[in-house]
Amino acid sequence: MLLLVSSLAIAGSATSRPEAQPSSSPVASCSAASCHGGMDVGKIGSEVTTWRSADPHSKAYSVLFNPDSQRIIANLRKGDSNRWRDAAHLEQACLNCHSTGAHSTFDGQPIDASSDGVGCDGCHGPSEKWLPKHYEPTWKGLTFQQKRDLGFNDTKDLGSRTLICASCHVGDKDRDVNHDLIAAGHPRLAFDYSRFHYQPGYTKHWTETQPERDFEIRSWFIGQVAALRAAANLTVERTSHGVVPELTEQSCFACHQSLTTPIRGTPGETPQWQPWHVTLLSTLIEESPKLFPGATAPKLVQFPVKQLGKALSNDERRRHAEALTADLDRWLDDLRKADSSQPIPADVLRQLAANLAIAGSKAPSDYDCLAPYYLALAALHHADEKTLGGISNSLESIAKQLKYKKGQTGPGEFDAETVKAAFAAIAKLLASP
Amino acid sequence: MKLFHAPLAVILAATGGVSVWQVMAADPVADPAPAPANINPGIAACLGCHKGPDLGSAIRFVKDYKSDEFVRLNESMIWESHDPHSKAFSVLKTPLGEQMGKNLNYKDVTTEVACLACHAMDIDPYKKDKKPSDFVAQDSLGIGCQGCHGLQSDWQSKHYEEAFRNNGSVIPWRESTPEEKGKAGLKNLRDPQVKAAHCATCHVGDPEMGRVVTHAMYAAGHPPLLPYELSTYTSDQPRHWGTPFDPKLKYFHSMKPEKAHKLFSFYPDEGQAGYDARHVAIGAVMGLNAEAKLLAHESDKATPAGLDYARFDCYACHHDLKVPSARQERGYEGAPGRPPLKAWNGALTGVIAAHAAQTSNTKVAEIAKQFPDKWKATQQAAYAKPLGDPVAMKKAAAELSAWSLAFANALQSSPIYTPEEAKKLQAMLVKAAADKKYLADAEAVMALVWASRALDNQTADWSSLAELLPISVRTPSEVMSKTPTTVGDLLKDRMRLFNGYDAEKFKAHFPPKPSTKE
Repeated sequence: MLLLVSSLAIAGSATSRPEAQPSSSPVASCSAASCHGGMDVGKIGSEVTTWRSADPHSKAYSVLFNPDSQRIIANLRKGDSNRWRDAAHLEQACLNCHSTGAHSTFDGQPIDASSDGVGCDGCHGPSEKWLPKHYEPTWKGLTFQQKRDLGFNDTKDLGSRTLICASCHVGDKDRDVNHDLIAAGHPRLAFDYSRFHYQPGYTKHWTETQPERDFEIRSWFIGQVAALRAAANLTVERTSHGVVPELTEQSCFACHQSLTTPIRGTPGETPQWQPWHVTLLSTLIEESPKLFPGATAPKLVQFPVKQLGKALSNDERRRHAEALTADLDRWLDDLRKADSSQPIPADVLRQLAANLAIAGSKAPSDYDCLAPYYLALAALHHADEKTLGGISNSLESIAKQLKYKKGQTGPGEFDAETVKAAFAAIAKLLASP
Repeated sequence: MKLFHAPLAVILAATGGVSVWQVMAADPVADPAPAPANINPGIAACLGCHKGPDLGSAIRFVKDYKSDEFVRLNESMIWESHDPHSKAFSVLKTPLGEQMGKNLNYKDVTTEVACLACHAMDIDPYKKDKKPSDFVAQDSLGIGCQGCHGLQSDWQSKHYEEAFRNNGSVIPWRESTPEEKGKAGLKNLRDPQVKAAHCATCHVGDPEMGRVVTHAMYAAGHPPLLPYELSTYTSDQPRHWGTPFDPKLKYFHSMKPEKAHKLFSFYPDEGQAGYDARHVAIGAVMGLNAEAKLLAHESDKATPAGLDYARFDCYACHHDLKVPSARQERGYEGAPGRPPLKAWNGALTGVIAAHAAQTSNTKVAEIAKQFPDKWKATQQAAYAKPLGDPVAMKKAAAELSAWSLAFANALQSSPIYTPEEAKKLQAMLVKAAADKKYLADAEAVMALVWASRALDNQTADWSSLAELLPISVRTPSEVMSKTPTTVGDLLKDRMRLFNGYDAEKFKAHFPPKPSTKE
């Protein structure tokens, strides 16, 4: 039993950073009142205060003490007498995502800033080198790469931003919310950038530099590609650190449905690798140059996706996942270099939404294949309700089907055909001028 | 495997040791006779006598040889009217069968060997690379009489030969040994081990006969194979054969113990309750044996992604996710998140082994005590990686298979199910069904309820549970119905009932109260 439990590769006991990486500063270091710790929540200069009051990342560490976390650890460690059964806050596998401040330096001294949760440096990059530089006048003149070399993660760059989100919210080396962990009780990771950053309860501690509407549309798009890239990279990592086969890489509810007749889903249609991240891919490829002039998706990116769905050896799996990761990195590069200054014309937006709706109406009748289409249309609708007005009723009916019922951590008996019919209705609505 | 056993069976039969044969034969299913060259499928000839003791040719045999004191003589009539095996082939042509064919990309389900292996009569089960012509597939026959009793024509003509040995007062066939009957092609279905093993080849599976329901087939629409509880299966056919305790079958009533065991593998002193307990016990253990063989076979075929999903507990994955989770509260035999073996296998055999371990028969008890370790090793092989570690599974499954056969052999040859012990077994089954170890697993609870009910002898009102989970394979209305209901509709009703299982509600109503009916 002991052997079994310790063989679970939740995440290695190694820390998440290689030795050469600069160290982090604790949140305290950013929160001087004259720097980022002002008292005007929501205003420039008060970022830390805003973050502390309204950003869930500040609570990422403290949630490890709540009953749910203790239940997860108890389920995982049952029978393992060497571990404290309720000490999620001491588990490296949990801390790798839930706290980024373990190895921080403050005033030249090492400090354990775990209780910061996911602190400033968790997203903005370990600040040892860039902290003294970022308040100098020369900072703004530095290039993207120069800042990067200092350890700074430029969150103004959407690719960098969404990739750092995805490193926890999808996963990375040592950050693997795999099926063992989910079965023990951890919520499933269903990352969608727009869903996270535009939910009503979330208050940003920054302002976007670009006009809201276009930014929201483009950030939705880049978020999709970044999440898929993170998923591909996670598969690479799993070939050396993970549990194989990794059940979370398949559609959750294709298995986790009570067997009724007819069963929900059609055999042979649902993508066998990461359907949640892959289902929109065809539409994204098509729309890429329209939203980001000059940025086309790599030609063969669909091929490794299809290969990964098969029963491969570890080496074959790594090969395809690495190829896919490289493809997506190239795409993200192109998206970064594209001219994102032009507003997206209304008809382009309508066409994008229509294409998404058409694809959604024809998608496999599987939750993971359908929900991302809803989230995509909801994000676009939120960005520009004027252009996409009229689809909200259909969106609401779809949401009703997809929402988890009370007491359930899954959609239960959701009607895929109703959802797909609603997508078709949206497509029809958007086709007429 | 077949060829090995043919000479062995002959040698051992010559030494006269029936029990020795049973202990040493590795596989009671293997037909000692070679593949029948002269097969004779069909029910028409059987109906000549087996339509009813007062009909057709039966009348003469009743008058001259008291055949109605040996067999019921209405077997074919019952089978033809009610037994679903007759539809085994024709169901392939229903909408569900067609849907499966489409989903699996079969040109024609009715000529697909993977389907025919169970849904038609197999002329030579162990033959490799079968073709449709290797099966007898008739709409009206399905798995007909010969599908279980034997396709060879020899026994069909010999079993009523009056001058076989010139005995006189009884048909000579009646006094033949099972080996002699086996040589003529008749399967010894009176032997609970032979019967259990034979039914299990389809109802659990047999890789060497090509009888495997894969997960792809399930996903395409194949009804989930039910927990293998032999007594419930046979009583729901409904049972068309007599037991030694039928009032009319006087041939068995004054049977001397040694003679009974030699000929028909039952112990008169055990009584009806013991007879039933024996069938439940050996049924479950041979079902586990079949599953173990499948696990070993699938380990060989495993891909990097592990064994086929069908080898694991269906409902460990196939349930809607809830919080709080009954499964998390129950705990796991291994780690959460890894598909486990079928819970009902461990539950049913576990209780039977636990009961046998506390009997005074040391031979049986010693083998029974090994079950927890054998099961644990197999379960750990399942848990070691998601979808099993093929190397560990092959070893553990082979051991489990050998253990289950040895245990079944020991049960077969030991009269441990006295009326008191049979009652004790029933009580242990009832207790297990409400144990929190199994309560979260609807299928395990169902299997335990079925076994409990099979041993209850109609003292309790089991129908009070009928709204909470399926208490039998077929509903009484389905058995008696004249108008056929499609498999699709039956399946829908059954799954709805099964999915509605609520552990708290079940616990409140279980065990069922004594029946108030007369």
